[in-house]
Amino acid sequence: MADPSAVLLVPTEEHRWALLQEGPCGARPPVVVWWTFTNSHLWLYDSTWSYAERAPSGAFLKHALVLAWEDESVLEGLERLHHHATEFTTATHCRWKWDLRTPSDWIRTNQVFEVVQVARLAEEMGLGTVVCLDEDGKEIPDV
Amino acid sequence: MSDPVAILLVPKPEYAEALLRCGPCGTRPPIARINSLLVDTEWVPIWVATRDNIPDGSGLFSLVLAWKGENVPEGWDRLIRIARKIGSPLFNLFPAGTLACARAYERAGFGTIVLLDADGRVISDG
Repeated sequence: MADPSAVLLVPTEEHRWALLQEGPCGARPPVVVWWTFTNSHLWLYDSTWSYAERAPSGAFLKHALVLAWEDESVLEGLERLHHHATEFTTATHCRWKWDLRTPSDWIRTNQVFEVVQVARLAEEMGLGTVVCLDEDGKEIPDV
Repeated sequence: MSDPVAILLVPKPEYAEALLRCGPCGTRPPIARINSLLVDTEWVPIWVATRDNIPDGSGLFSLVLAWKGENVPEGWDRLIRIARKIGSPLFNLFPAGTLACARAYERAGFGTIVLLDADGRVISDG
């Protein structure tokens, strides 16, 4: 089984806006979209695409927050997840106690494997579904 | 002096790239720039930065730490991450408060703090 090169979190409907929305003054989390072509699918990013905009043709089927990309953790994605998970656990008194340390503390060694662990915790909290990609962009089942 | 509703950090040239650059997969920090088409003291948000359009250290671009009276987490995340990376002292928003924390990073040498009023004008005696 290939090691993951990218780690994505596909938010549940309840958490989609909080995890993917743009902030003020152009602030934007790392996001990829699930494109469907004639007979294939692919996760792609588009730096000009705005989550706030409606998909022009319905081609966007899913959107995901990027936690690791090209074998490196993406701290902006981890920070967005961290902020929302902290608010969520505080507001709901969720039994899952989100680690209050910062993302930089979680990912000291920049290992994608550790990012997968963080993503799995978010998945257990019900924030979304983890998707891992190999270096060719193909999904890796059961990481 | 009117109360500030926005807090900007105009980076020193040596920190501009680290504080303002775009990241992977379309990641952008919150940025405001001086609107040169109107008056040179008006700061406006920008929305169009991409990885190929990185704001420079000319002093025309700034990292947004607070906007419309609210903290901007993405701005603070970026600033604190860079401070941590270079081994600078870290200052907490709580309990110091937003403006005091921003001033602390200014004293640490990251750049110049600019305060805006509700009309987007610079508060000169910040």
